[in-house]
Amino acid sequence: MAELALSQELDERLLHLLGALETLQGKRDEFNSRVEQGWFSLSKSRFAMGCKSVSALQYGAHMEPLVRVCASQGEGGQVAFQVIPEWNPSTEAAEGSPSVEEIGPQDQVLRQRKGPGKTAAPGPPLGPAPKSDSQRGALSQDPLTWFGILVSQSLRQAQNSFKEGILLAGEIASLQSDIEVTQAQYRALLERKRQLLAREG
Amino acid sequence: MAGRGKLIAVLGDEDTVTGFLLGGVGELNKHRKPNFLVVEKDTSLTEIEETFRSFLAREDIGIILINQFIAELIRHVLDGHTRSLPAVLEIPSKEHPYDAARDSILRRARGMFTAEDLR
Repeated sequence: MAELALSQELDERLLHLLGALETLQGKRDEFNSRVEQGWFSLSKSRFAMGCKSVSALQYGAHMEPLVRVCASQGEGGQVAFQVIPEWNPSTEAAEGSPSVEEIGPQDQVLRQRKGPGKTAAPGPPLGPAPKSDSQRGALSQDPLTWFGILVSQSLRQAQNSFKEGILLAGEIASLQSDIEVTQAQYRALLERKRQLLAREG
Repeated sequence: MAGRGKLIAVLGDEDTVTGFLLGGVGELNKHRKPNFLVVEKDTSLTEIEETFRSFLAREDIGIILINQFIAELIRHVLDGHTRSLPAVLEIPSKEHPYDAARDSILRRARGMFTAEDLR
């Protein structure tokens, strides 16, 4: 009976391992595809902006990470990695801040062509739309700004590809941890089964 | 900083590092060492190994991305890393596509079964 229970547990671990390996392969293919797209876009941006304009020489002197990883350990010892990006557009939408900065007076006012006496003085100017600190910070920290004020669309595409790749990297890291833990569990169960068979035999 | 989550480190060629820095993984200020290394033709093996070991030792790094051709140069260090944190991901480079047969994690999974084990 104990042997049967052990064999069933071994089968379950094996099936879980094979499933995780299959999922890992799919995620890896997706990740590799994103990264290759990113390289292609980087090459296109070099073609558009110049070879020397997109290189390690342009890296910022000060960098703040816009992506972090939270690692949480599960019951079996496997570690789940969750990538937390600080570029999340849903956060910006929730705050209601406009994505495009509007400058100038909010209301239509008459232009004073001939001095202040000829036309009514405009009301007190309204301030620009308030930005959250995080949005202001994120804009100033955007690595795209290292490469100039006007960057090519290819460079933005490269950034998007690599951002997607980073999210996939977190999932791959979680799967790898799951696979390692499952392997260890499988080996331990196999050893127990061998010892049991040796005692009975 | 540690309370907000861990960092993602990158060891790779210029395109790989540039791409992931564009994605926002980079950290560099006057107080801390960078969490990335651009490996060029004249980068020494010692520097690569020391940088990788320093990333492994840092508690604020959760994932290390490393081009597989660079991982091959320091395979003995990768094979010796059996902890869950930080996770090491071998990634392709422009000139060297990803080969699952060389991946440390997948090599440990391969050859784990024999006909005897499945009886």
